Amino acid sequence: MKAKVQILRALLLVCFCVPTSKAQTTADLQVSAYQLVSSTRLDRTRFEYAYRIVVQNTSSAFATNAHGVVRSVAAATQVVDGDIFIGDVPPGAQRLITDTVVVRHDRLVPFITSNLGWTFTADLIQGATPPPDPGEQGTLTLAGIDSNANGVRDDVERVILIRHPTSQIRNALFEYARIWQDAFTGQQTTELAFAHMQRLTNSIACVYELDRDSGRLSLKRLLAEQLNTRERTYAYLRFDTLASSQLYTIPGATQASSQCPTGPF
Amino acid sequence: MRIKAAFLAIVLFGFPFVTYSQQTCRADMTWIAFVNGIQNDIVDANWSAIALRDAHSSRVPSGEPVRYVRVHNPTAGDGVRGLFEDIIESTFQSWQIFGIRDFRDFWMHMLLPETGENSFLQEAMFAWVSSQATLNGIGTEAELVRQRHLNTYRMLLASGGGISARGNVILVAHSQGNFFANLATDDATDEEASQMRVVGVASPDNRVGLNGEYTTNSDDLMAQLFTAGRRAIGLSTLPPNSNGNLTVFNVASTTGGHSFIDSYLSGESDSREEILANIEAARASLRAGDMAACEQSGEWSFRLTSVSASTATRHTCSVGQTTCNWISGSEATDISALSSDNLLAATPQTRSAISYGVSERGTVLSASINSDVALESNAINRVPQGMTYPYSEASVGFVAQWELVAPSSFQFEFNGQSTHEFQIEPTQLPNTDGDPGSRASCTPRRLSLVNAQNGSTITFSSGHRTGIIGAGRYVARVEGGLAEAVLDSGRTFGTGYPDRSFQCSAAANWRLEIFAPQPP
Repeated sequence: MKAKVQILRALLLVCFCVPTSKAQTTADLQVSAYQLVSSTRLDRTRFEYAYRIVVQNTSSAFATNAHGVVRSVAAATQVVDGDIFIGDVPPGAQRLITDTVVVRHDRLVPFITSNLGWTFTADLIQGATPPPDPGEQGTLTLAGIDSNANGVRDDVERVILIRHPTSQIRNALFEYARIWQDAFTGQQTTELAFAHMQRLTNSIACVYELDRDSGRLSLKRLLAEQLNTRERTYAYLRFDTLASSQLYTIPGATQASSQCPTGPF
Repeated sequence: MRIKAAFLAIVLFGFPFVTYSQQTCRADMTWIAFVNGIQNDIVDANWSAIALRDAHSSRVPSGEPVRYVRVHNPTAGDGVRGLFEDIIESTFQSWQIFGIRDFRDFWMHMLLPETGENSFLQEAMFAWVSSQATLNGIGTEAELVRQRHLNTYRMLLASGGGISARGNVILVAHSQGNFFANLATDDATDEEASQMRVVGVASPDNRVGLNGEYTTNSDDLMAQLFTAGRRAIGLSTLPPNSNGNLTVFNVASTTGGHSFIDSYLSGESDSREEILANIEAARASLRAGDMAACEQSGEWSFRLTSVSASTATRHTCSVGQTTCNWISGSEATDISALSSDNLLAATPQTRSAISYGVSERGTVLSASINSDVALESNAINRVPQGMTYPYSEASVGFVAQWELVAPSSFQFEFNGQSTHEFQIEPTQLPNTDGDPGSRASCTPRRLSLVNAQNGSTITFSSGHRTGIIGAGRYVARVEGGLAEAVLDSGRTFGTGYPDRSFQCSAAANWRLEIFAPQPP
């Protein structure tokens, strides 16, 4: 085994790429208020201030994984820590952000908040409210967290909603994710693996009909999300083996389309 | 002896398909089965089969029965999953050097070579696993795997949907899938082999099963890796025979020009056309075999001979009707659900049970069997050839039923060859099986399907069906003979009903069917 590992490591040495993630978009967020958290005098005229901000989402999209970066346009004001994590902001809502922005200001001139220019980025979700990000808690068990009990893990659901704005492909991917969840978390037997695999085949055929150009990529990205722990990876390998050597029907194009789920989920 | 108002249903349902297949036109269905290699993840394995269907189906003339299926081989291959797991574990630390922080990242790299996201890692990983599998044939469970594959292919061969109950099978095998296809077809009987073809794609093997055609691109780097690995241990591979014409970008961004979808079936590749042409050549070859079989058998004839004198009134269950139910093995299945889709989508146990009975679906020789003629001694029904009910109508072979007023013996012949003899003892058998759907129509009840040795005891159980047993005698028809059993009246006919045993008294290959009769 040692030799095998060495060979594989040698192969890995020429690997240089890193996975990309979906670029976030500029979000219609704005600062509606500043709350002074602390004030520290640095010298005779300069002070360091820590502020919390109240962020308002002025768009109709749910902003998630939102970040804000502040820059100062005034020479008297320097940004010390201007990168804050905002998280989720529902459409139209305001949120007081716990993360603080830190600036140093020379009080020889007035401190004007409008001299702070903000850029907000976020993943925008149209027409749906995502479940909360389960974070590390979501990786502690095979099943993960499914807070809205729709059969799809919260972390996977968030990815679907973020990446896929249209309901048709969303529905198809929800079904696809649900089958994986069933395949991993229930009893793993040959019979069930067969049934789940046929469902997967139908589900993949549906996505094929909906989006031949990038559907496969979407399915594989989602599968990678499904397999984000060792336990889930091994469940996949077990399922993969149990479903082997069996026969699965490839539905025709019309049938595949008609089998696409209509949702909503 | 004449018995007043006595009726007996004779249901010609599911005669021995073996006899048919030996002498008649064979396939009414061509199954194109994609056999994926072990580089494929589950998404790609499915996508490949769907893309193959998409590419090929436009070449099939309308009305020709062609269906697409896939035979799944797992990501890490049978017999080498343990090795795959070892690699995952032992190299986990190495991943982190390259920014792979967790399993999600690992799979993102493994699954997404087409995005240029570190396709080399996938190549490296799979090359290692593949080389192990390649050097070992198909891994340490080769015998088990080849047998499983052959059994799967046999299921297709027995799913033709015709009176012959046979299908033709074209295995389109990619990469390591060629090992599985080749080894499995080695074990096929001559008759099975005559209905199968193998079309190899990117084969790491040194042959194509059943002397089929293959396509390997000259710019398939993975194939070159296989060749080098096998050469090192004294094994050969088939040489490249196609100029893939792949762009450098294609080779670099896929698994080294080895991907079925991105390379072999891509529009830019010559191999796409060659693969499709090989499939069409295989279909033509199989059709030629079918035609030869048809010509040999000549006009089909159906003969039902009344051996002893009897009078009868016709009672024919409509052909293709879908109200007949049956119970096979431990599964109750409505015949209307026995379309090929449902057949294949059923659970393995169901399919296993149905695999004995699939021959009873499909081509109907005649839309109306003239039993008035058939019941005359030595009368022959000429039936048109090739009257086929499509699967969607879930035709059940042919079902004919007569109500008799006298005991009689019958002989059933197909194409002049006697296949079945049975005797009828008229008796009144009220139909109170609790199934209103079958009450007004033919009521074949297959309570079990058994293969047993001559002289041995076979037992049926009532499976899942429930209902109230009516008084009287139920006839159990077996292949090559007749057995009878009296079921208790008033008992729940279901899982609580005790098993019944029959003593076999004729040849082997018993097939036991219990038919609840029509009400008088």
